Amino acid sequence: MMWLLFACFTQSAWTEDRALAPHLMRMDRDANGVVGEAEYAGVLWNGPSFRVADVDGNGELSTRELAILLDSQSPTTFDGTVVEPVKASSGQPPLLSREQREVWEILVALSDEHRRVGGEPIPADVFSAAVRSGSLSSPESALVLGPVRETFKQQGWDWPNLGLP
Amino acid sequence: MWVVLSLLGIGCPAAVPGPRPSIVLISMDTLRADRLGAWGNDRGLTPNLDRFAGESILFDQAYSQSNETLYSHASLFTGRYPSELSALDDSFAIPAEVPVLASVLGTYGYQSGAFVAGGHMSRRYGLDRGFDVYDDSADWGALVQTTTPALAWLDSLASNASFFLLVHGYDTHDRYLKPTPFGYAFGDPAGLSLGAEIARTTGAAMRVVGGALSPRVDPIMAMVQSHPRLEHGRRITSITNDVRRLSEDDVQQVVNAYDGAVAYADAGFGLLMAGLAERGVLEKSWIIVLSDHGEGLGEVGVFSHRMLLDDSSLHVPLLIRPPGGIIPQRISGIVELTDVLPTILDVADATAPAGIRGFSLLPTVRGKAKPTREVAFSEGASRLFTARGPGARVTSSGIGVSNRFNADLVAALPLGGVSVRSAGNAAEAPALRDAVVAWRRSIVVPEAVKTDVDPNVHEMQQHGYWDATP
Repeated sequence: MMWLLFACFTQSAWTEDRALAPHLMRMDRDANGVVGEAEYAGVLWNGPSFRVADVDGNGELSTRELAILLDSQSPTTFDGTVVEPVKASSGQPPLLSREQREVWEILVALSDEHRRVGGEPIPADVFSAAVRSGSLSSPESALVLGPVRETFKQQGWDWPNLGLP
Repeated sequence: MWVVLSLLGIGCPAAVPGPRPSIVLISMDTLRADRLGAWGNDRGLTPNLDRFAGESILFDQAYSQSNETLYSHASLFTGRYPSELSALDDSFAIPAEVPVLASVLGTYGYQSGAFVAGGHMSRRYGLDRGFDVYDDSADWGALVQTTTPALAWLDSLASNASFFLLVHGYDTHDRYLKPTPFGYAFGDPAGLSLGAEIARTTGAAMRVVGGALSPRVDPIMAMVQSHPRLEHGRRITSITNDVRRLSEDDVQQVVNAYDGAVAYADAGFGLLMAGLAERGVLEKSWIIVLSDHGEGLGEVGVFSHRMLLDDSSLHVPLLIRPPGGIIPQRISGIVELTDVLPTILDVADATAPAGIRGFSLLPTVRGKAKPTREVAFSEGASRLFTARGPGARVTSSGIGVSNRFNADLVAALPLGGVSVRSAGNAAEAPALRDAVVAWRRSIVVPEAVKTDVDPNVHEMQQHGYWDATP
């Protein structure tokens, strides 16, 4: 019974008028119960003039007129111009070879573990050269793997079975 | 009294023979939980959502599984973590072999329609799979744009049809400044501060880092600058160009604009609810309201969601309203948006597919159980991962696990390949750290991407490891 009473109470209350009334009343700065031209001007920035928004011309904005106002404006326009969100990245970057990517993944991962226990950072130019070599067996990669291997040894960690030299 | 009745199961929906119950899922993009009155906000932004909460079960600690629209919705539609679906980059797609919510419901006779606001919800990312109708034409639009076709679709259905309706809008996504009268409902239109500049300019919000606005900084690069594993890149890049400091007033200008957007979203939500009520949908359908992620509002100097994996970007509203409404309850346990799919399938009396990570919340809605999660996991692009416990969060950076190569690498690393930052109750951090490492190691990589290597080309470039002219 309680459930039915609750359901009856809550139903039928969702209407356009009730949905928009609190938002309309927020504009009612002088609390006289209506939103007039001056109050509308206080929040107008990119929409139609009050004369247009006040469809019935009675000098007050109603919830129906607010619904029309919402429906008539797009959030993707700014001063009448459609604005596209900015992409985080633009342009097509060059592709790396699979070997270079794998080298990078492994070296970054290992040097991160090395850094987490206080190892000296690997200089960026040394790191980049190792990645460019595309091989974990290259002399360039050895300059990265050397200090990392030493850290692993000091920590008593197994050298990962990742095909490393 | 209601609490007692509720605990006894009185006033709770029971399974009813006949057509399977219809379900409406409302996704309010980029809406932070803490902007709703029902979550304690006192600015009066959300009268309709608050009223809806008064007829619903409110999940106080719901966390999305990603800070990006595409990854979050893909997780929502599959009940899996984003890394279990694809590499988290521009190639992201749900593998064909992974069952999706609309497809599963379709096998039980549901008609399904999605009315989404394009952008990262565009059909080109494959989110349309399983829907009978997938309207993504309201590109970057709001609920007021997607509601009209959604209601028209409802009108086209047979009166006894079981349906699944998804309505989505970017109402609170940047650019924060929304149409009149909401754009300046909480701010000053005469303001010409840096904050106003951010509020008015799409994408500019993402350029704010560390309390400074630098128009020339790539947002991902900016994130990289504060990334603990990127000392290498930090040395060879610069963000010093055109940096200007934001004042507290600037920050408030942005927050004011975002709050106006929240009110705009609430108005759109109210109109959608009115349309549903007019069609009798509220009496006979389950309504679920959520957001895919939140938004950083300058707490750590960033106005964006893409660059953060903290509560500002991951704590989202989650409300479940059974047909006709329910005696409201606030559930304080941790839940994930992965729990929504099994909940919906439970409501539909449909069998959940194997491999999902979520747990049905229907027993909680019915007052028969509490959420059992101890930790919520989330992940973002740029290889950030986080575990959220009851009183703390740890955020880790590390290599991605979205392909077999990286998964093997994670398994081989002594520290699990993560650097951890923690916030909140420090006593919780060690357990959360262990949890996030174990979780990363539990990720099952989909067959389709096992043999690929995540290119990470963007990330490499932005670290400074690689340039365009090798």
